[in-house]
Amino acid sequence: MKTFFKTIKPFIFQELFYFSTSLYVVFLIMEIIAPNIILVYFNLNYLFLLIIFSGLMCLRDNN
Amino acid sequence: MACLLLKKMTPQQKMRLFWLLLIFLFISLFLFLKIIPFGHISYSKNYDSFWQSGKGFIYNFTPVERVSNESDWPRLIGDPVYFSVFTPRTFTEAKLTLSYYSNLADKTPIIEAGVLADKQVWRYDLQPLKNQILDDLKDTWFKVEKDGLVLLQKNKNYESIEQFLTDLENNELKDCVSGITTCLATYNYDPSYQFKLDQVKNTANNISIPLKGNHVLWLYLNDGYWQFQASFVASLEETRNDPLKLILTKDQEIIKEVVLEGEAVDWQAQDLNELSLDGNFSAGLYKLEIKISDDVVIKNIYSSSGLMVFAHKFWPVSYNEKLKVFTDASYLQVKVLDPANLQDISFAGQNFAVTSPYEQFEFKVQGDNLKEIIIEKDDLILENNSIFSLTAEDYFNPLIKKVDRHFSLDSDLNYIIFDYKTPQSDVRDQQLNIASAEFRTKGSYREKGKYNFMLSIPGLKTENGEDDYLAIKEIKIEFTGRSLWQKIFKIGD
Repeated sequence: MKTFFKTIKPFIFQELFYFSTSLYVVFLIMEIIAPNIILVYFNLNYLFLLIIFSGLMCLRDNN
Repeated sequence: MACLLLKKMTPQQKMRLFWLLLIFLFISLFLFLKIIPFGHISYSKNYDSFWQSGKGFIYNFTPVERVSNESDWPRLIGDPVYFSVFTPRTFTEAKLTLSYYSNLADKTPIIEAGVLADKQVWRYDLQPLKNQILDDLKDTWFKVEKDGLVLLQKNKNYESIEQFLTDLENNELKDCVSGITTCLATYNYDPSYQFKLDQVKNTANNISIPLKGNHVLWLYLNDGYWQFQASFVASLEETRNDPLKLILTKDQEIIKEVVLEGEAVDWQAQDLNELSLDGNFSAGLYKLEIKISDDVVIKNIYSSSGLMVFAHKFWPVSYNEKLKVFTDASYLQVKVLDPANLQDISFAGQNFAVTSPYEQFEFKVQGDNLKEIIIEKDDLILENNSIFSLTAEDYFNPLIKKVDRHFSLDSDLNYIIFDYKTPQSDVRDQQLNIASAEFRTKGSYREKGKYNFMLSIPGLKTENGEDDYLAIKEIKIEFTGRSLWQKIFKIGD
Protein backbone atom coordinates (compact mmCIF):
# COMPACT_ATOMS: atom_id res chain seq x y z
CA MET A 1 0.00 0.00 0.00
CA LYS A 2 2.87 2.30 0.94
CA THR A 3 4.54 1.76 -2.41
CA PHE A 4 1.21 2.32 -4.14
CA PHE A 5 0.84 5.74 -2.58
CA LYS A 6 4.48 6.51 -3.24
CA THR A 7 4.00 5.69 -6.91
CA ILE A 8 0.83 7.70 -7.39
CA LYS A 9 1.98 10.73 -5.39
CA PRO A 10 3.52 12.58 -8.38
CA PHE A 11 0.30 12.44 -10.37
CA ILE A 12 -2.33 12.46 -7.59
CA PHE A 13 -3.52 16.03 -8.38
CA GLN A 14 -3.66 15.27 -12.07
CA GLU A 15 -5.80 12.19 -11.36
CA LEU A 16 -7.94 14.14 -8.91
CA PHE A 17 -8.42 16.83 -11.56
CA TYR A 18 -9.52 14.23 -14.13
CA PHE A 19 -11.83 12.58 -11.64
CA SER A 20 -13.49 15.77 -10.37
CA THR A 21 -13.93 17.13 -13.90
CA SER A 22 -15.49 13.88 -15.11
CA LEU A 23 -17.75 13.76 -12.08
CA TYR A 24 -18.76 17.38 -12.64
CA VAL A 25 -19.66 16.66 -16.27
CA VAL A 26 -21.62 13.54 -15.28
CA PHE A 27 -23.52 15.46 -12.58
CA LEU A 28 -24.20 18.31 -15.00
CA ILE A 29 -25.65 15.90 -17.57
CA MET A 30 -27.79 14.27 -14.87
CA GLU A 31 -29.03 17.71 -13.77
CA ILE A 32 -29.97 18.59 -17.34
CA ILE A 33 -31.87 15.31 -17.77
CA ALA A 34 -33.58 15.40 -14.36
CA PRO A 35 -33.47 18.86 -12.74
CA ASN A 36 -32.63 18.96 -9.03
CA ILE A 37 -31.52 15.32 -8.93
CA ILE A 38 -28.11 16.39 -7.59
CA LEU A 39 -28.53 20.01 -6.50
CA VAL A 40 -30.97 19.24 -3.68
CA TYR A 41 -28.36 17.03 -2.04
CA PHE A 42 -25.10 18.55 -3.16
CA ASN A 43 -23.96 21.96 -4.30
CA LEU A 44 -21.89 21.51 -7.47
CA ASN A 45 -19.83 24.57 -6.58
CA TYR A 46 -17.99 22.48 -4.00
CA LEU A 47 -16.96 20.12 -6.77
CA PHE A 48 -16.01 23.07 -8.92
CA LEU A 49 -13.72 24.30 -6.13
CA LEU A 50 -12.08 20.87 -6.09
CA ILE A 51 -11.54 21.14 -9.88
CA ILE A 52 -9.91 24.56 -9.48
CA PHE A 53 -7.77 23.43 -6.57
CA SER A 54 -6.56 20.19 -8.20
CA GLY A 55 -6.04 22.02 -11.50
CA LEU A 56 -3.84 24.67 -9.86
CA MET A 57 -1.87 22.06 -7.94
CA CYS A 58 -1.41 20.13 -11.15
CA LEU A 59 -0.01 23.25 -12.87
CA ARG A 60 2.33 23.85 -9.95
CA ASP A 61 3.59 20.25 -10.11
CA ASN A 62 4.16 20.49 -13.86
CA ASN A 63 6.26 23.60 -13.43
CA MET B 1 -9.07 -13.61 -13.67
CA ALA B 2 -10.05 -10.19 -12.32
CA CYS B 3 -7.35 -10.52 -9.70
CA LEU B 4 -4.77 -11.29 -12.37
CA LEU B 5 -5.91 -8.34 -14.43
CA LEU B 6 -5.66 -6.09 -11.38
CA LYS B 7 -2.12 -7.31 -10.70
CA LYS B 8 -1.05 -6.50 -14.24
CA MET B 9 -2.36 -2.93 -13.97
CA THR B 10 -0.08 0.02 -13.24
CA PRO B 11 -0.89 2.10 -10.11
CA GLN B 12 -2.22 4.88 -12.37
CA GLN B 13 -4.57 2.46 -14.11
CA LYS B 14 -5.71 1.11 -10.74
CA MET B 15 -6.50 4.60 -9.58
CA ARG B 16 -8.51 5.36 -12.72
CA LEU B 17 -10.47 2.18 -12.18
CA PHE B 18 -11.18 3.34 -8.65
CA TRP B 19 -12.38 6.75 -9.91
CA LEU B 20 -14.61 5.08 -12.46
CA LEU B 21 -16.14 2.85 -9.82
CA LEU B 22 -16.65 5.88 -7.60
CA ILE B 23 -18.40 7.79 -10.41
CA PHE B 24 -20.59 4.75 -11.09
CA LEU B 25 -21.38 4.54 -7.37
CA PHE B 26 -22.40 8.22 -7.30
CA ILE B 27 -24.62 7.78 -10.38
CA SER B 28 -26.28 4.73 -8.79
CA LEU B 29 -26.78 6.56 -5.48
CA PHE B 30 -28.45 9.58 -7.08
CA LEU B 31 -30.59 7.39 -9.34
CA PHE B 32 -31.67 5.44 -6.24
CA LEU B 33 -32.59 8.71 -4.53
CA LYS B 34 -34.46 9.82 -7.66
CA ILE B 35 -36.48 6.64 -8.08
CA ILE B 36 -36.91 5.88 -4.35
CA PRO B 37 -37.61 2.19 -5.11
CA PHE B 38 -39.01 1.39 -1.67
CA GLY B 39 -41.59 4.20 -1.96
CA HIS B 40 -40.77 5.79 1.37
CA ILE B 41 -38.51 8.76 2.10
CA SER B 42 -38.20 11.52 4.63
CA TYR B 43 -37.01 15.08 4.04
CA SER B 44 -36.33 17.56 6.78
CA LYS B 45 -35.14 21.08 7.34
CA ASN B 46 -33.60 21.92 10.67
CA TYR B 47 -33.30 25.65 11.17
CA ASP B 48 -30.69 25.02 13.88
CA SER B 49 -28.13 23.59 11.50
CA PHE B 50 -25.71 26.09 10.06
CA TRP B 51 -24.39 24.18 7.06
CA GLN B 52 -26.33 22.74 4.17
CA SER B 53 -24.64 20.63 1.50
CA GLY B 54 -27.27 21.22 -1.18
CA LYS B 55 -30.35 23.31 -1.94
CA GLY B 56 -32.47 21.03 0.23
CA PHE B 57 -35.99 19.84 -0.41
CA ILE B 58 -37.93 22.24 1.76
CA TYR B 59 -37.94 25.79 0.46
CA ASN B 60 -38.18 29.00 2.47
CA PHE B 61 -41.41 30.48 3.81
CA THR B 62 -43.29 33.05 1.72
CA PRO B 63 -44.46 35.81 1.76
CA VAL B 64 -41.36 37.16 3.50
CA GLU B 65 -43.33 39.93 5.27
CA ARG B 66 -45.04 37.29 7.39
CA VAL B 67 -41.79 35.75 8.59
CA SER B 68 -39.31 37.34 10.97
CA ASN B 69 -35.72 36.12 10.77
CA GLU B 70 -34.42 38.18 13.68
CA SER B 71 -33.92 35.17 15.95
CA ASP B 72 -32.26 31.75 15.50
CA TRP B 73 -35.39 30.26 14.02
CA PRO B 74 -37.85 31.76 11.53
CA ARG B 75 -40.79 33.26 13.36
CA LEU B 76 -44.19 33.18 11.69
CA ILE B 77 -45.83 36.53 12.42
CA GLY B 78 -48.62 36.55 9.85
CA ASP B 79 -51.18 34.20 8.41
CA PRO B 80 -50.90 32.16 6.25
CA VAL B 81 -47.36 31.30 5.19
CA TYR B 82 -46.48 28.99 2.34
CA PHE B 83 -43.56 26.76 1.53
CA SER B 84 -42.91 24.26 -1.20
CA VAL B 85 -41.29 20.87 -1.04
CA PHE B 86 -39.40 19.37 -3.93
CA THR B 87 -39.78 15.65 -4.43
CA PRO B 88 -38.00 13.74 -7.18
CA ARG B 89 -41.19 11.73 -7.86
CA THR B 90 -44.84 11.69 -6.86
CA PHE B 91 -46.15 10.21 -3.61
CA THR B 92 -49.59 9.27 -2.37
CA GLU B 93 -49.27 10.32 1.26
CA ALA B 94 -47.28 12.78 3.31
CA LYS B 95 -46.83 13.17 7.04
CA LEU B 96 -45.67 16.59 8.15
CA THR B 97 -44.03 16.92 11.57
CA LEU B 98 -43.46 20.39 12.89
CA SER B 99 -41.22 21.23 15.86
CA TYR B 100 -42.02 24.69 17.14
CA TYR B 101 -41.91 27.12 20.02
CA SER B 102 -45.19 28.91 20.51
CA ASN B 103 -45.60 32.46 21.66
CA LEU B 104 -49.16 32.81 20.43
CA ALA B 105 -51.89 34.77 22.16
CA ASP B 106 -55.21 33.25 23.30
CA LYS B 107 -57.00 34.76 20.30
CA THR B 108 -54.99 32.50 17.97
CA PRO B 109 -55.68 29.04 19.43
CA ILE B 110 -55.39 27.10 16.19
CA ILE B 111 -52.45 25.99 14.06
CA GLU B 112 -53.15 24.12 10.85
CA ALA B 113 -51.11 22.82 7.95
CA GLY B 114 -52.31 22.12 4.45
CA VAL B 115 -51.25 20.87 1.06
CA LEU B 116 -52.49 22.57 -2.10
CA ALA B 117 -55.10 20.14 -3.36
CA ASP B 118 -56.74 22.21 -6.09
CA LYS B 119 -55.01 25.13 -7.75
CA GLN B 120 -58.04 26.32 -9.71
CA VAL B 121 -59.91 27.39 -6.58
CA TRP B 122 -56.73 27.66 -4.46
CA ARG B 123 -57.99 25.04 -2.01
CA TYR B 124 -55.67 23.61 0.63
CA ASP B 125 -56.44 20.33 2.34
CA LEU B 126 -56.04 21.61 5.90
CA GLN B 127 -55.19 19.33 8.80
CA PRO B 128 -54.88 20.33 12.45
CA LEU B 129 -51.60 20.72 14.27
CA LYS B 130 -52.85 22.45 17.39
CA ASN B 131 -56.25 23.40 18.78
CA GLN B 132 -55.97 25.00 22.21
CA ILE B 133 -59.76 25.16 22.66
CA LEU B 134 -60.05 21.39 22.38
CA ASP B 135 -56.96 20.82 24.51
CA ASP B 136 -58.56 22.86 27.29
CA LEU B 137 -61.95 21.16 26.98
CA LYS B 138 -60.37 17.69 26.99
CA ASP B 139 -59.53 18.11 30.65
CA THR B 140 -62.98 19.24 31.77
CA TRP B 141 -65.49 17.31 29.63
CA PHE B 142 -66.13 13.56 29.50
CA LYS B 143 -63.96 11.96 26.86
CA VAL B 144 -64.55 8.87 24.71
CA GLU B 145 -61.90 7.97 22.15
CA LYS B 146 -61.59 5.45 19.34
CA ASP B 147 -59.14 5.22 16.41
CA GLY B 148 -58.10 8.84 16.78
CA LEU B 149 -61.71 10.07 16.83
CA VAL B 150 -62.59 11.82 20.10
CA LEU B 151 -66.02 12.61 21.53
CA LEU B 152 -66.28 15.18 24.31
CA GLN B 153 -69.53 15.31 26.28
CA LYS B 154 -70.69 17.91 28.73
CA ASN B 155 -72.75 15.21 30.49
CA LYS B 156 -71.84 11.57 30.22
CA ASN B 157 -74.59 10.31 27.89
CA TYR B 158 -72.59 7.95 25.68
CA GLU B 159 -70.17 5.16 26.51
CA SER B 160 -69.00 4.62 22.94
CA ILE B 161 -68.49 6.67 19.79
CA GLU B 162 -70.37 4.10 17.66
CA GLN B 163 -73.48 4.56 19.80
CA PHE B 164 -73.17 8.33 19.47
CA LEU B 165 -72.72 8.21 15.69
CA THR B 166 -75.71 5.89 15.27
CA ASP B 167 -77.90 8.26 17.28
CA LEU B 168 -76.55 11.21 15.30
CA GLU B 169 -77.38 9.56 11.98
CA ASN B 170 -80.92 8.87 13.19
CA ASN B 171 -81.34 12.39 14.58
CA GLU B 172 -81.86 10.98 18.07
CA LEU B 173 -79.04 12.50 20.09
CA LYS B 174 -79.64 12.52 23.82
CA ASP B 175 -79.78 15.95 25.48
CA CYS B 176 -80.22 17.64 22.13
CA VAL B 177 -83.58 19.39 22.09
CA SER B 178 -82.39 22.50 20.25
CA GLY B 179 -81.24 20.56 17.17
CA ILE B 180 -78.01 18.97 16.04
CA THR B 181 -76.53 22.13 14.53
CA THR B 182 -76.62 23.85 17.93
CA CYS B 183 -75.86 21.00 20.36
CA LEU B 184 -72.96 19.50 18.43
CA ALA B 185 -69.66 20.98 17.28
CA THR B 186 -67.00 19.30 15.17
CA TYR B 187 -63.41 19.76 14.22
CA ASN B 188 -61.64 18.05 11.34
CA TYR B 189 -64.45 15.54 11.08
CA ASP B 190 -67.68 15.53 9.07
CA PRO B 191 -70.23 13.21 10.63
CA SER B 192 -73.14 12.04 8.52
CA TYR B 193 -76.50 13.22 9.79
CA GLN B 194 -79.95 13.90 8.40
CA PHE B 195 -80.77 17.56 8.05
CA LYS B 196 -84.50 18.09 7.70
CA LEU B 197 -86.65 21.12 7.00
CA ASP B 198 -90.40 21.04 7.50
CA GLN B 199 -91.53 23.26 4.68
CA VAL B 200 -89.75 23.90 1.45
CA LYS B 201 -91.08 26.23 -1.21
CA ASN B 202 -91.84 24.93 -4.66
CA THR B 203 -91.25 28.13 -6.57
CA ALA B 204 -88.26 28.88 -8.77
CA ASN B 205 -85.20 30.77 -7.56
CA ASN B 206 -83.40 33.11 -9.91
CA ILE B 207 -80.30 34.97 -8.74
CA SER B 208 -79.21 37.61 -11.22
CA ILE B 209 -76.55 39.16 -9.01
CA PRO B 210 -73.22 38.44 -10.72
CA LEU B 211 -70.89 36.45 -8.44
CA LYS B 212 -67.18 36.16 -8.93
CA GLY B 213 -65.17 32.96 -8.53
CA ASN B 214 -65.88 29.67 -6.87
CA HIS B 215 -69.08 29.44 -4.80
CA VAL B 216 -70.56 26.62 -2.76
CA LEU B 217 -74.32 26.36 -2.44
CA TRP B 218 -76.42 24.35 -0.05
CA LEU B 219 -79.74 23.33 -1.55
CA TYR B 220 -82.75 21.86 0.09
CA LEU B 221 -84.84 20.13 -2.54
CA ASN B 222 -88.28 18.61 -2.70
CA ASP B 223 -89.01 15.18 -4.11
CA GLY B 224 -89.23 15.17 -7.90
CA TYR B 225 -87.80 16.91 -10.93
CA TRP B 226 -85.29 19.68 -10.33
CA GLN B 227 -83.34 21.83 -12.72
CA PHE B 228 -80.34 24.05 -12.11
CA GLN B 229 -78.65 26.43 -14.52
CA ALA B 230 -75.67 28.73 -14.22
CA SER B 231 -74.29 31.05 -16.88
CA PHE B 232 -70.78 32.43 -16.93
CA VAL B 233 -68.84 35.37 -18.34
CA ALA B 234 -65.14 36.20 -18.18
CA SER B 235 -64.13 39.07 -15.93
CA LEU B 236 -60.83 39.64 -17.71
CA GLU B 237 -59.98 39.72 -21.38
CA GLU B 238 -57.31 37.10 -20.88
CA THR B 239 -59.11 34.52 -18.82
CA ARG B 240 -57.31 31.28 -18.16
CA ASN B 241 -58.75 28.28 -19.91
CA ASP B 242 -59.75 26.52 -16.71
CA PRO B 243 -62.75 24.21 -16.86
CA LEU B 244 -66.16 25.23 -15.50
CA LYS B 245 -67.66 22.62 -13.19
CA LEU B 246 -70.84 21.91 -11.30
CA ILE B 247 -70.38 19.24 -8.64
CA LEU B 248 -73.50 18.03 -6.83
CA THR B 249 -72.99 16.00 -3.65
CA LYS B 250 -75.32 14.39 -1.15
CA ASP B 251 -74.09 12.89 2.12
CA GLN B 252 -70.49 13.59 1.06
CA GLU B 253 -70.82 11.57 -2.15
CA ILE B 254 -70.71 13.06 -5.63
CA ILE B 255 -73.96 12.25 -7.37
CA LYS B 256 -73.63 14.42 -10.47
CA GLU B 257 -70.85 16.37 -12.12
CA VAL B 258 -71.09 18.60 -15.17
CA VAL B 259 -67.93 19.94 -16.78
CA LEU B 260 -67.30 22.41 -19.56
CA GLU B 261 -63.65 21.87 -20.44
CA GLY B 262 -61.40 24.91 -20.74
CA GLU B 263 -60.87 24.42 -24.48
CA ALA B 264 -64.63 24.31 -25.07
CA VAL B 265 -65.25 27.63 -23.32
CA ASP B 266 -65.58 30.49 -25.77
CA TRP B 267 -65.38 33.77 -23.89
CA GLN B 268 -65.54 35.84 -27.08
CA ALA B 269 -68.91 34.43 -28.14
CA GLN B 270 -72.03 36.50 -27.70
CA ASP B 271 -73.86 33.61 -26.06
CA LEU B 272 -73.17 32.99 -22.44
CA ASN B 273 -71.35 29.83 -21.46
CA GLU B 274 -73.90 27.77 -19.61
CA LEU B 275 -73.91 24.70 -17.41
CA SER B 276 -77.03 22.91 -16.32
CA LEU B 277 -78.05 20.03 -14.13
CA ASP B 278 -81.40 18.33 -13.99
CA GLY B 279 -83.09 15.12 -13.01
CA ASN B 280 -85.33 13.55 -10.43
CA PHE B 281 -84.04 13.95 -6.92
CA SER B 282 -85.22 12.76 -3.53
CA ALA B 283 -86.04 15.39 -0.93
CA GLY B 284 -83.17 16.49 1.24
CA LEU B 285 -80.00 18.46 1.55
CA TYR B 286 -77.55 18.77 -1.35
CA LYS B 287 -74.28 20.58 -1.74
CA LEU B 288 -73.47 22.15 -5.08
CA GLU B 289 -70.05 23.50 -5.86
CA ILE B 290 -69.71 25.91 -8.74
CA LYS B 291 -66.04 25.36 -9.38
CA ILE B 292 -64.56 28.17 -11.44
CA SER B 293 -61.45 30.31 -11.21
CA ASP B 294 -61.53 33.86 -9.84
CA ASP B 295 -61.36 35.20 -13.42
CA VAL B 296 -64.86 33.94 -14.13
CA VAL B 297 -68.16 35.54 -13.11
CA ILE B 298 -71.38 33.62 -12.54
CA LYS B 299 -73.82 35.86 -14.38
CA ASN B 300 -76.99 34.09 -13.42
CA ILE B 301 -78.13 31.18 -11.24
CA TYR B 302 -81.46 29.46 -11.69
CA SER B 303 -82.99 26.72 -9.54
CA SER B 304 -86.41 25.37 -10.46
CA SER B 305 -87.48 24.79 -6.86
CA GLY B 306 -86.30 24.42 -3.25
CA LEU B 307 -84.11 26.61 -1.09
CA MET B 308 -80.66 27.83 -1.97
CA VAL B 309 -78.02 29.45 0.28
CA PHE B 310 -74.29 30.15 -0.06
CA ALA B 311 -71.68 28.57 2.19
CA HIS B 312 -68.75 30.51 3.68
CA LYS B 313 -68.16 32.94 0.80
CA PHE B 314 -70.19 35.44 -1.18
CA TRP B 315 -68.52 37.67 -3.75
CA PRO B 316 -70.99 39.93 -5.60
CA VAL B 317 -69.58 41.90 -8.51
CA SER B 318 -70.82 44.49 -11.05
CA TYR B 319 -74.34 44.61 -9.63
CA ASN B 320 -74.09 48.35 -9.08
CA GLU B 321 -76.95 48.48 -6.64
CA LYS B 322 -77.32 48.45 -2.89
CA LEU B 323 -77.34 44.84 -1.74
CA LYS B 324 -78.74 43.03 1.30
CA VAL B 325 -77.31 39.73 2.45
CA PHE B 326 -78.18 37.67 5.52
CA THR B 327 -76.02 35.53 7.79
CA ASP B 328 -76.21 34.12 11.32
CA ALA B 329 -72.48 34.21 12.13
CA SER B 330 -71.28 36.63 14.76
CA TYR B 331 -68.38 37.80 12.62
CA LEU B 332 -67.80 38.86 9.06
CA GLN B 333 -64.57 39.00 7.09
CA VAL B 334 -64.52 41.55 4.31
CA LYS B 335 -61.93 42.13 1.62
CA VAL B 336 -62.01 44.74 -1.12
CA LEU B 337 -59.66 44.52 -4.08
CA ASP B 338 -60.46 47.76 -5.87
CA PRO B 339 -59.87 51.02 -3.90
CA ALA B 340 -62.96 52.47 -5.62
CA ASN B 341 -65.10 50.04 -3.62
CA LEU B 342 -63.87 51.01 -0.15
CA GLN B 343 -66.93 51.76 1.91
CA ASP B 344 -68.79 51.53 5.19
CA ILE B 345 -70.84 48.38 5.44
CA SER B 346 -73.70 47.73 7.79
CA PHE B 347 -73.58 44.45 9.71
CA ALA B 348 -76.35 43.69 12.21
CA GLY B 349 -77.24 47.38 12.33
CA GLN B 350 -73.68 48.50 13.11
CA ASN B 351 -71.49 50.38 10.65
CA PHE B 352 -68.00 49.11 9.92
CA ALA B 353 -65.43 50.79 7.68
CA VAL B 354 -63.44 48.98 5.04
CA THR B 355 -60.58 51.43 4.69
CA SER B 356 -57.89 49.78 2.59
CA PRO B 357 -57.77 47.39 -0.37
CA TYR B 358 -56.30 43.87 -0.20
CA GLU B 359 -56.61 43.83 3.59
CA GLN B 360 -59.01 41.42 5.25
CA PHE B 361 -61.18 43.23 7.78
CA GLU B 362 -62.95 41.35 10.50
CA PHE B 363 -66.10 42.71 12.08
CA LYS B 364 -67.68 41.18 15.18
CA VAL B 365 -71.14 41.51 16.67
CA GLN B 366 -73.04 39.63 19.36
CA GLY B 367 -75.50 36.76 19.03
CA ASP B 368 -76.34 33.83 16.78
CA ASN B 369 -79.54 35.34 15.38
CA LEU B 370 -80.01 36.22 11.72
CA LYS B 371 -78.17 39.42 10.81
CA GLU B 372 -78.49 41.76 7.89
CA ILE B 373 -75.49 42.92 5.89
CA ILE B 374 -75.99 46.00 3.72
CA ILE B 375 -73.37 46.87 1.14
CA GLU B 376 -73.49 50.03 -0.94
CA LYS B 377 -70.92 49.00 -3.56
CA ASP B 378 -70.20 45.47 -4.67
CA ASP B 379 -67.01 43.67 -5.73
CA LEU B 380 -66.09 42.77 -2.20
CA ILE B 381 -65.52 39.35 -0.71
CA LEU B 382 -67.70 38.44 2.26
CA GLU B 383 -66.57 35.43 4.25
CA ASN B 384 -67.38 33.65 7.51
CA ASN B 385 -67.84 30.11 8.80
CA SER B 386 -71.58 30.11 8.18
CA ILE B 387 -74.17 30.74 5.47
CA PHE B 388 -75.07 33.71 3.29
CA SER B 389 -78.53 34.15 1.88
CA LEU B 390 -80.17 36.85 -0.21
CA THR B 391 -83.45 36.68 1.64
CA ALA B 392 -84.29 36.14 5.29
CA GLU B 393 -87.22 33.85 4.36
CA ASP B 394 -85.04 31.40 2.44
CA TYR B 395 -82.34 31.29 5.08
CA PHE B 396 -81.40 27.91 6.51
CA ASN B 397 -78.15 26.72 8.04
CA PRO B 398 -77.32 23.03 7.68
CA LEU B 399 -73.75 23.44 8.94
CA ILE B 400 -72.65 21.91 12.21
CA LYS B 401 -70.60 24.33 14.32
CA LYS B 402 -66.85 24.16 13.89
CA VAL B 403 -64.40 24.56 16.75
CA ASP B 404 -62.52 27.36 15.07
CA ARG B 405 -61.09 30.53 16.59
CA HIS B 406 -64.56 32.14 16.65
CA PHE B 407 -65.99 29.25 18.60
CA SER B 408 -67.87 30.12 21.78
CA LEU B 409 -69.12 27.62 24.30
CA ASP B 410 -72.90 28.09 24.20
CA SER B 411 -75.14 26.61 26.85
CA ASP B 412 -76.89 24.43 24.22
CA LEU B 413 -73.66 22.77 23.15
CA ASN B 414 -73.35 19.29 24.65
CA TYR B 415 -71.06 17.38 22.32
CA ILE B 416 -67.87 17.95 20.40
CA ILE B 417 -66.51 15.33 18.03
CA PHE B 418 -63.12 15.69 16.43
CA ASP B 419 -60.20 13.99 14.78
CA TYR B 420 -57.13 15.66 16.22
CA LYS B 421 -54.11 14.75 18.33
CA THR B 422 -52.63 17.14 20.88
CA PRO B 423 -48.99 18.05 20.11
CA GLN B 424 -46.35 16.39 22.26
CA SER B 425 -43.68 18.22 24.23
CA ASP B 426 -40.08 17.30 23.56
CA VAL B 427 -38.58 15.12 26.31
CA ARG B 428 -35.45 17.28 26.66
CA ASP B 429 -37.05 20.65 26.02
CA GLN B 430 -40.55 21.07 27.47
CA GLN B 431 -41.08 24.33 25.59
CA LEU B 432 -40.60 22.63 22.25
CA ASN B 433 -43.82 21.24 20.80
CA ILE B 434 -43.98 18.52 18.17
CA ALA B 435 -47.14 18.27 16.12
CA SER B 436 -47.87 16.19 13.06
CA ALA B 437 -50.50 16.03 10.33
CA GLU B 438 -51.11 13.56 7.55
CA PHE B 439 -52.17 14.40 4.01
CA ARG B 440 -53.25 12.57 0.94
CA THR B 441 -50.99 13.90 -1.80
CA LYS B 442 -52.33 11.75 -4.60
CA GLY B 443 -53.85 14.22 -7.06
CA SER B 444 -52.50 17.20 -5.13
CA TYR B 445 -51.23 20.06 -7.22
CA ARG B 446 -47.56 19.70 -8.11
CA GLU B 447 -45.60 22.19 -10.17
CA LYS B 448 -41.97 21.75 -11.26
CA GLY B 449 -41.69 18.75 -8.96
CA LYS B 450 -42.86 20.68 -5.93
CA TYR B 451 -45.81 20.20 -3.60
CA ASN B 452 -47.14 23.39 -2.06
CA PHE B 453 -47.74 23.47 1.67
CA MET B 454 -49.29 26.07 3.92
CA LEU B 455 -49.02 26.80 7.63
CA SER B 456 -52.01 28.66 8.93
CA ILE B 457 -52.52 30.38 12.26
CA PRO B 458 -55.93 32.03 11.75
CA GLY B 459 -56.05 35.48 13.28
CA LEU B 460 -52.29 36.03 13.41
CA LYS B 461 -51.66 39.43 11.90
CA THR B 462 -48.36 41.07 11.06
CA GLU B 463 -49.75 44.57 11.38
CA ASN B 464 -51.27 44.29 14.88
CA GLY B 465 -47.93 45.22 16.51
CA GLU B 466 -48.11 42.44 19.11
CA ASP B 467 -45.22 40.14 19.87
CA ASP B 468 -47.01 36.89 19.09
CA TYR B 469 -45.30 34.40 16.85
CA LEU B 470 -44.62 30.76 16.14
CA ALA B 471 -40.91 29.90 15.95
CA ILE B 472 -40.19 26.94 13.70
CA LYS B 473 -37.27 24.74 14.72
CA GLU B 474 -37.70 21.88 12.32
CA ILE B 475 -39.95 20.69 9.52
CA LYS B 476 -39.90 17.04 8.62
CA ILE B 477 -41.99 15.48 5.87
CA GLU B 478 -42.27 11.74 5.38
CA PHE B 479 -43.55 10.78 1.96
CA THR B 480 -45.05 7.41 1.12
CA GLY B 481 -45.89 6.18 -2.34
CA ARG B 482 -45.77 3.19 -4.59
CA SER B 483 -42.63 1.11 -4.54
CA LEU B 484 -40.83 0.31 -7.77
CA TRP B 485 -42.20 -3.23 -7.77
CA GLN B 486 -45.76 -1.96 -7.22
CA LYS B 487 -45.27 0.43 -10.11
CA ILE B 488 -43.87 -2.28 -12.41
CA PHE B 489 -46.56 -4.81 -11.55
CA LYS B 490 -49.27 -2.09 -11.22
CA ILE B 491 -50.23 -2.97 -7.67
CA GLY B 492 -51.87 -0.48 -5.31
CA ASP B 493 -52.90 3.09 -6.10
